[in-house]
Amino acid sequence: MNAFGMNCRCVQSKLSAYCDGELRGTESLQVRDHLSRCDVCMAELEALREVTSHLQQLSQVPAPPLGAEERAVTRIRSASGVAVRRFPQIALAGLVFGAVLGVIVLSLFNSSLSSGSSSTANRERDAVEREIQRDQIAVGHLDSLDGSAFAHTASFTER
Amino acid sequence: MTKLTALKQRVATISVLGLVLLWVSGCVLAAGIDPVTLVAVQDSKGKSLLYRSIRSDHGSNVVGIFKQILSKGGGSLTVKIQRSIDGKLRDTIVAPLREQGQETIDDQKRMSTVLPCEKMVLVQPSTRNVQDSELRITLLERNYLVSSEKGPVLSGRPTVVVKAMSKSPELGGVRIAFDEASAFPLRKEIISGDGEIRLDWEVISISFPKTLDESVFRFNPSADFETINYSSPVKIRSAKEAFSVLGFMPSVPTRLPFGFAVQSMSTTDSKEWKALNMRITDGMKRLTVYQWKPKSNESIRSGQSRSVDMIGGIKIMVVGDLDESMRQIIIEAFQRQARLNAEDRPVASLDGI
Repeated sequence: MNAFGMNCRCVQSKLSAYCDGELRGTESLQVRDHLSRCDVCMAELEALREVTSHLQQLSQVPAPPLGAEERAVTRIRSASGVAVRRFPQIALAGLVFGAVLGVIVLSLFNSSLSSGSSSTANRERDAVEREIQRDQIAVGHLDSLDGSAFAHTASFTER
Repeated sequence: MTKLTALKQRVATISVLGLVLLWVSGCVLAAGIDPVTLVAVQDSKGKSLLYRSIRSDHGSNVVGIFKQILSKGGGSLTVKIQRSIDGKLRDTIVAPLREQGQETIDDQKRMSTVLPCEKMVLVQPSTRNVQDSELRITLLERNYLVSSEKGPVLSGRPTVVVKAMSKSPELGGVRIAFDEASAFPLRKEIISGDGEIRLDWEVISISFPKTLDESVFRFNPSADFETINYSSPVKIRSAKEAFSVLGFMPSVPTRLPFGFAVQSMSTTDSKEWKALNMRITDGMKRLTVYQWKPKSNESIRSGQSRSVDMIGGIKIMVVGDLDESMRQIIIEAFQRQARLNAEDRPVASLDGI
């Protein structure tokens, strides 16, 4: 974690742009630097890349032919009796859809709880890293024999 | 009869000599002097340069450009350094581009670290007045063998190369090329325990100007820079005192491996992180040992310059330029003391070290 470069929240907000190669040089380097040391953000990046890859693999769906919508409406109107007979099936589909929606909402709730505790850990880690880096800057400048002062002034590079 | 008398006299002489030798050994051990130190051939010129540098006694202002080699594959930093004769400093990173402009300015009252990309200034008390050079020299005498030889001309300056090797062979040592006139270090190489030599940093250019404007050591950040002020760390004398401040009993070993000794103990003055910071040194190498009680499951990990472990719910981190295996041996000393603490054995204070 680079306390002075970027924190996890900042990096995660830039991951999509980073993935698409849209970040400018310094920002891109800072994100890469952070990713090299932060498992949480690296996992986010990998998840993002996976989603992007899945989306790219979806087959192209051809657009409906011209006037298809009007023709479909006309056919539904002319066959309204059929629509009534199929109502129970639609209701069943609605129930299934509702159940799936419920599961999704519950899993999102759970994941927000766990990401809440993970972000607390990240905040604490950021605070500790920041304090250690500040302290090491002071240590490094105690005498001229210790060139590490230079490195500690720069990002916490875990030499 | 005469032969018997002569034999008796010889036995008596040998006994007296033996007793004298025993007495001297006893005195040496009682004084805590390592007998190896007495017989080691020590280099007075090398030591003089080394000690002058530790005391920052260069007798001149210094302006230079240095290159610091980072870890394997980590590239390098180019840094401009400016040091006044009375100890003020300004170090500015010149390259690489991503770190450019980061600098530390110490006017002997405050040390400001400027982070231009983050528009942030960290202000903490100056470290220029820390009086630890005499302790370090005492430890160097105890733990290192020093030798010197004529060195190469670096950046137009004649040098003397001083080699200081730890008496604990696994720690290796350092080779420093000092400017012969000012005792300013111009190149530092680290010698590992297996004899491998690695360049740490070296001079690119250097000058010793007679005057250095005071404005060099002043920094007035623009209004949009966020300034974070840190107050002085709270000095701690013993583990018990640390307990009363931090709320947990840290481990403070009575003895440290490789001849390391405790220089100072303090607590961090931070709302977010309460920790004990111990500075330990063997005279040449400096390490910091942090101990804190983690509030959450934060994943602070070991890295190339630090080792992390747990001691009964207390996190311990050793930071410094020492091999991982050596850092681990130091952590083990803390773990041993923690076990003794648990058995309610007496804990150390700084007076005992």
